[in-house]
Amino acid sequence: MLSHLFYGLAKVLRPDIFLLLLLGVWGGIAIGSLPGLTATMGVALLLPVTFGMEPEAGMLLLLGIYIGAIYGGSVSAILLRTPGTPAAAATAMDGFEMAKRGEAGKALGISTTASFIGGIVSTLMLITISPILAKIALKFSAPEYFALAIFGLSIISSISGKSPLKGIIVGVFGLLVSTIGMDPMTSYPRFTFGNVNLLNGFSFIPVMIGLFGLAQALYNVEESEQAVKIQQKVEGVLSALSEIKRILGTAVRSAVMGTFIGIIPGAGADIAAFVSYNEAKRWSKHPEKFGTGIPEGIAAPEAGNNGVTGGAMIPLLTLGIPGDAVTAILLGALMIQGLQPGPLLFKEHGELVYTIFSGLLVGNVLMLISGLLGIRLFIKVLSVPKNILTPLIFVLCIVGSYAMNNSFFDVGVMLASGVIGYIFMKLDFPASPIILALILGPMAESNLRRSLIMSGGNYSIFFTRPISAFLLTLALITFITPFLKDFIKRKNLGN
Amino acid sequence: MADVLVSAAFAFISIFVFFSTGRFPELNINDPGPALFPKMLSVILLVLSVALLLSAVFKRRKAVFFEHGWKKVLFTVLLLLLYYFSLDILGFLVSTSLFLIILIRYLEKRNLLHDVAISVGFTFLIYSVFQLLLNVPLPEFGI
Repeated sequence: MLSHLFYGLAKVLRPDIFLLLLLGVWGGIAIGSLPGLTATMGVALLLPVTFGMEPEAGMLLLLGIYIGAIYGGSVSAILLRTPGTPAAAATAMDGFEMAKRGEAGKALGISTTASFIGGIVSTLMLITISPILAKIALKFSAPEYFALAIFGLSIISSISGKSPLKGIIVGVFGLLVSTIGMDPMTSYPRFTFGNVNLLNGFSFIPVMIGLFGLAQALYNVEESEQAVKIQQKVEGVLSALSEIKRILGTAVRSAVMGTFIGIIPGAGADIAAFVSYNEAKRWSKHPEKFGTGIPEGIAAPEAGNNGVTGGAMIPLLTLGIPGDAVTAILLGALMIQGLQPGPLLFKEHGELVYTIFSGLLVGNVLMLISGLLGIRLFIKVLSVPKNILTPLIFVLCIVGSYAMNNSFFDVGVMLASGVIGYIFMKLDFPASPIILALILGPMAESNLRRSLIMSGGNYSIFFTRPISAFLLTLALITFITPFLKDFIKRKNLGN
Repeated sequence: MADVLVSAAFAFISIFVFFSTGRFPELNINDPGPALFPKMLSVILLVLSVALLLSAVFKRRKAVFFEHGWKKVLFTVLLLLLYYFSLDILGFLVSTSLFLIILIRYLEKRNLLHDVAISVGFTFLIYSVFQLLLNVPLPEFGI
């Protein structure tokens, strides 16, 4: 395994690939810093750039953006109290308080160090866990894959925030959309209305660019405002290094939690950051100091959200199921290159897998160095006026959705998804269940039917096979947990 | 109110799907066929939209849709549609530059020269990065 890693490292250090990774990290930090531009949006918009590249180069560029943007969100959270990405919302609490005291530099330094710890720990976990998981997954057959898809879908109830009902509706709607096109088993065209473009169903890349790029940009148009001026002086970023001892325990613990949250399909960096923050507060000897600008309050969410990056890659690479919205786009990126993520990827494209591992390690080091030495340059990005940036994003959405198949139809799909996504945003319908459904829907359906053929039409096949029975039970528990919690809370309030 | 409309829309979709699946063929005895999955989903969606309808009727919320910025959003969407259809006729360079100039000027009026320079410059940047550097083709020049 070590030799594989060295092979991957050699590939990452090839000048052109290294440069792309570095550009990705820098671009990611800039994208993350800007409120209104999220990591998902950044990766979705830059995806088309990778179409002409070799798989390793393209993946590392996108991974660089991913980790850079998750970290970059903390910059504006600390300086402006406006999280640059949803994942940095928890960082704003203590980060901004510390910056208000004139210690903005130190706060940024702590967030940089903690993000690095989060990224490295989760990458190490990715490197150790995924080969084992891939080996187990090799034994999976249709019923197990069906159960896995159902488990993935069951997460929807807990990632839908205030209204699980709305999330589930959106999810079922997404599943229905995923049945558009030729039926996977009999090739019978369903809901295509005679349109040839629909025979292969909706490709989910234009849908993602619409939901996470265009919808957010429309939202930004509505909220358009003047450019902001940074008041704080950013000095002494390196002074954060003296706090390492104090934050190390919190950071490593949050990183591990973030990794596990990343593994769960659909649960992403924003959830990890809040869970890590709350857990750090619970573990702390002085929980009352959280929120007043203490290093742990910055380190916990930042290590937690960057911990997701490695974690979300685990199900993607081993099972072909994305761990969060960003890895859903990475799934698309791999498939465009003709690579099917899943257990066979380790066997047939081991070099690529280990290049990704090494690239994540190197990328996190680049993020640390860039953050500690160059953060003042990245802050300059915040003065780019939004009213100019947003129109440029529209163009990138159009170009990105066109470039995949040179198809105007895809652009139309992107525009429609964007408008629907915007309406969803306004009505508190979460958008990410659609993506989960579009990816897991075909997987659930074809494996359901394959299993039924295997068993001669008998549904008991899902419950007599141990792994599938286990996964389905897990799915049921996951699905009802938020409702149970809600019920218990209401009951307690009643008493 | 919005929730009522949305649940009606979803209910309509589910009923449409349910009846469409009736015409799907059944081929193999063991394979439940192309109709099973969408049919199950349409029933679930119908139940859920009724649930949403009920919760919307009982919990009246203020309409959030028509806030201050909705005119801007509507203008942007219409402009995007115009841009979309013009791509095929005018080609990427012309229609993108025009789209950017109009939208940037609409959102905030600064120095005209400055806005035009940004729009045209960005258009050419994207064009060279995709078409020339990455070999990803963009809609051709129309004129």
